[in-house]
Amino acid sequence: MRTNSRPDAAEIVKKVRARLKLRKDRDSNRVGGNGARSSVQQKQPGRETNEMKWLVQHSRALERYRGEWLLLQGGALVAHHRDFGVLQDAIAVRNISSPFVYYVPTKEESSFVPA
Amino acid sequence: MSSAYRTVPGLGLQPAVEVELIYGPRRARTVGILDSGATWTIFSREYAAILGIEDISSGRHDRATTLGGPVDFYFFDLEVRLVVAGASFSGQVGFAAGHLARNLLGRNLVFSRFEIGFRETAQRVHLRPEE
Repeated sequence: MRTNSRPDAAEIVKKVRARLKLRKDRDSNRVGGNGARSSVQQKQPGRETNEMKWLVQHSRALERYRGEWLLLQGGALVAHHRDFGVLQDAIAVRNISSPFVYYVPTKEESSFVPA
Repeated sequence: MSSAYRTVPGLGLQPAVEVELIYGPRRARTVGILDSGATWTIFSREYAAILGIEDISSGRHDRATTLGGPVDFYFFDLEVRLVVAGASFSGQVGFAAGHLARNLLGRNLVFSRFEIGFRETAQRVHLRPEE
């Protein structure tokens, strides 16, 4: 036989509020929240910059620069050299605030298997 | 989010992503390879120079054994931005005492902040920030 012990409406409201608070606290600890649990700050799904897109699109052609450092700016290769100091100078001359720099591994370096 | 593997010069198709390193007012962008086998997140020493770190030996020293022999690394607190994920975070990034042919995004920094899955058949990598 079932007992007719229906919970009090105020009790239900209290439980729902507690559950909502719990969810809110949990969400604040997620990415983009202000919680301290995760230090990852995410604004919105990002897009690769023009430099990264260009590097990928011209990957095969850039194999000729094995053993060299590349400096990309926008959709162009603006400097390349085996001596990294040359690129540092180019970065300074062009006053690039966040330079995109990539080293093209030699064939020996490419076949290296990480430990 | 998920991202297709990228073909990068000299390395071919890789779970490669664009990263930006931030150290104070200085920034540098490059390509990092997501590597679950790498304990640390490590970059070649030249990137430290771009960031204005003149003496990398002032960082916390550690040593790793690789197939090429022991390599010394120096760690600094940097902000790292994973461009494709639109996410940035702070942590210890190591710079090799010598030249490194590739930059590795390892477990200490990236894999501890994201759930990462490799779907090799589709050549895609999935990243979801840890809750």
